[in-house]
Amino acid sequence: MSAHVTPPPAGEVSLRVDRVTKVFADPTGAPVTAVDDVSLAVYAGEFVSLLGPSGCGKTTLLRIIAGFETPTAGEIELAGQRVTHLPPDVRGTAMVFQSYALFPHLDVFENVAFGLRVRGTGAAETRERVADALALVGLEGLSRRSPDQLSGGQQQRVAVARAVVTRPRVLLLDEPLSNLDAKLREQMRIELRRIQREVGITAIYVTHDQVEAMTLADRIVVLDRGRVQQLAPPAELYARPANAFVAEFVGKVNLLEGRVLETRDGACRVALPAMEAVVPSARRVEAGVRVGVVVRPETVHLAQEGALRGAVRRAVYLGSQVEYEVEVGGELLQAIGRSPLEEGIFREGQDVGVTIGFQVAHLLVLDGEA
Amino acid sequence: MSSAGVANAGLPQGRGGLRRLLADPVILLAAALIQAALLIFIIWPLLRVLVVSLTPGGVLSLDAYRDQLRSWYVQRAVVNSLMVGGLTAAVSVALGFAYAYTLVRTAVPFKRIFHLLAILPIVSPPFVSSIAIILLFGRGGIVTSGLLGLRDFNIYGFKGLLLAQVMTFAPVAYLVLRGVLEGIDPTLEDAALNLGARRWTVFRRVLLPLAVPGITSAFLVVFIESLADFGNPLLLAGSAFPVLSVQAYLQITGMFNLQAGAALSVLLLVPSVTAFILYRLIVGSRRYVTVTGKPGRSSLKATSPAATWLLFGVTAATAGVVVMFYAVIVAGALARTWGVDNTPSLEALRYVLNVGRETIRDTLAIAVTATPISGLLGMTIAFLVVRRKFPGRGGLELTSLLNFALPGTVVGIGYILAFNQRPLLLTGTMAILVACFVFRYVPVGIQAGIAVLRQIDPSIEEAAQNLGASSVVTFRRVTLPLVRPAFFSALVFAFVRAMTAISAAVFLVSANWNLMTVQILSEVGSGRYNAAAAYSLVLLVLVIAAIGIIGLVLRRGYSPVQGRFL
Repeated sequence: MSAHVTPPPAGEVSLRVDRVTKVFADPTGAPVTAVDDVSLAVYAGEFVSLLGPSGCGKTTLLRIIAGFETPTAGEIELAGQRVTHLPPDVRGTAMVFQSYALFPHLDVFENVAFGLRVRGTGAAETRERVADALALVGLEGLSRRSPDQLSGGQQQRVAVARAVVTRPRVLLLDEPLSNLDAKLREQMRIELRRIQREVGITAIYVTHDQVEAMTLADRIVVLDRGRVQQLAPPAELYARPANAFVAEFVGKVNLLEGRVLETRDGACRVALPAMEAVVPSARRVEAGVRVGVVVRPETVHLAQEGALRGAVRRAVYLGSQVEYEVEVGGELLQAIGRSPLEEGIFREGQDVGVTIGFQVAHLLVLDGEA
Repeated sequence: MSSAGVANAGLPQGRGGLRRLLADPVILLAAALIQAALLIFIIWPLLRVLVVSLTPGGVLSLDAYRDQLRSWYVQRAVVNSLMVGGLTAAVSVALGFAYAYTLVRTAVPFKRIFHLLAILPIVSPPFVSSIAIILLFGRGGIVTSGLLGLRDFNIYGFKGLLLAQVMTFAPVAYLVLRGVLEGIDPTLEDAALNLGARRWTVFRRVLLPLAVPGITSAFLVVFIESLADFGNPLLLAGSAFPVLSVQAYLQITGMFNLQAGAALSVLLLVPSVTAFILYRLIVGSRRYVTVTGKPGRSSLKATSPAATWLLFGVTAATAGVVVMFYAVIVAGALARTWGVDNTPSLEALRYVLNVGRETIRDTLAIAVTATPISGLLGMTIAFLVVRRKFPGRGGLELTSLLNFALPGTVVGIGYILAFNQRPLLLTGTMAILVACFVFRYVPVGIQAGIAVLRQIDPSIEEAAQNLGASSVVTFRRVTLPLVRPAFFSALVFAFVRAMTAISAAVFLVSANWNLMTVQILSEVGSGRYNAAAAYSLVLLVLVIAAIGIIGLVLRRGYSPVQGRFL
């Protein structure tokens, strides 16, 4: 709780995005700002995820980095070199496409070798590096298969091997797991992280799935409507979201609105509609300011006993846990009941005691931010 | 922010776009060269026709048109052309629809054979039907004078022409409509049946409405082809039934009146281009659908057995006529003197292979030169249009397609008017024939290329660039292999048409460079039907062999979408 701002990772900057804006014309010709004044620096060997809902500009930003789009304003630097107006084939970025984009007329080996062949790499070296890349993704022995003879997960691995074999400056991944089923997705997540660490490559990973971003990335850039909402490591993003959008997009949340009564000793006393809460706050917030209190569902505990009473309105049994909606003083709160095998399940309509973990909640100032 | 966004939306992006274009000079250069070529070989000849027809005596006036339209003979030609065009299109679409429906939506035997028989007229010279009709029903025809003993039966004129054109163009309608019917998910019909509709209602209320845009475009395509047709009317219409394409030709080659010929060809151009614009509006409004690889399973239950057998009868009868036509061509080629002495003889074939050897060689040389140029040009234009942004992109697509709507007569007259002086002195050369064929038949390659490219995920080519391949390397190593089916169609089409074309080529042949099709017409004109049939047979064998060779060269390996042409 001591440091509220994580110091930027040390080391060499691998990718710099400097005040990049991209304006498209929509079908009617009206301008649409897909990326709006975005700046960020990614350090060598870092795994950064661009996270946001569809249409937030994350894929456009990735395509600008790869060189498929030219920014309306701003600059892109790769390893200190300005590449904003270079065509994609000389940038040394390697991309893993959402659709994998494997060459259907080439076999696995030739797909992986493509980037080496167009660079004029010698035959022996090509063979060796392709074999290494295929070993890295666990596809030894499939090199003469055609892409359509592979499963989705195998195609995914070929796409990754094809990208890393060229030893790119940065690896760009555009929702690479979205075409896989849930089980495989989880497995590939672990694989991707292992491969990225093993190769020590800088990676930019676009996704709309917050779980993917949380499990993979060193830092996450949350984008909405083309703007950076927050840039932080996963734990900080979850514990201390910068605004209501981040709080609601990353994980589930109870966002309770109220007004500050007073700030004292690093905490605010907040008047909520149904109760009063003391929430930690590093900054001094004036009395009367409208605030939001970010309470994660797993910090809301239900029990038979308790001073604060509520009524269970909904209970969804998920095996490892139960998701509740509980009404407290006219307000609906999400809560999580752990280990139902041990703790049992509360029924809908049941009267329960509610404990809210305000001591680990996060305070958002809603007034005066706009 | 939004106002600032508007303010710098245009300028910096335009600058970045230009900078990006300059960073890829090959694309820019290719686009510029192709645009220049299209201007020279499509727009310029068309302009020459218009200018010559509009400036009789060196002043701008409509006199040439007025003179022509004052003549009752020309008036008849206009009416006749439009009437034959409309009727041919209507009958061809009806027949083509029945044929396509039978093959796509019912369970009847011999589908493969029926399909191949429908393809045969498409790869033949467009006037083979006429020759067959003359051999069968003409003055020395085996049916009319031989079998029936009729002495004064006259096949020349409206009836004969309509029959010849229907047999020539119904296959075109069939191919278009086959594509349309295959594109309509049969589960829709199953759903309608399941909801309690009777079969006839399903056909009328579900299938037919869905097929209407396709039926209309098939009608327009055949209408355009019929208007532009030259060989059939030349052989069968006779002087009592004038049509525009033949009249324009006679004005130029018979009367040496370029102005009158140009004016007549423009009269032909107007309905043609109108039909083409309608066609584009219909086709353009249709969205391209990505092949999902999940074919709807047809239960083939939507047609009653009685209707199925009726359709089968129509199909079999049509196929029977095709068989009869080609059989009579073979018989004609192998007969001593048609209508007089029908005993077998190799005389006509020997004549063709000796006297006609040079013409055959010219024809092959021109076709072999034009084919790869046309195919590659088509794929390049399709690639540029679908995948690249550059100034004048819309114009490029439109210009290249426009040529499809121009009747061959207009193109032929345009070429002799445009390329008869320095620096573009091409008349009498091989180059003028090659250029004519390349630019005349490239639209089919472009269309096929565009259709296939739109179904291929653009990220496949982006991946190649991202891995370090330049635009040229990407095109050669990724795009071209992927569009192979379209490339195949384009090559086959270009070759077939270069071998069989007549309406434009008839103006462009010379003593040095003659074509088999022109030779066939002249053999018919001199009454040497055996030689005409023998030429046709040789031509057909060459075309079929070439399709086989192109297929062998290209068919190896990957093919994402089955080629449509064969």
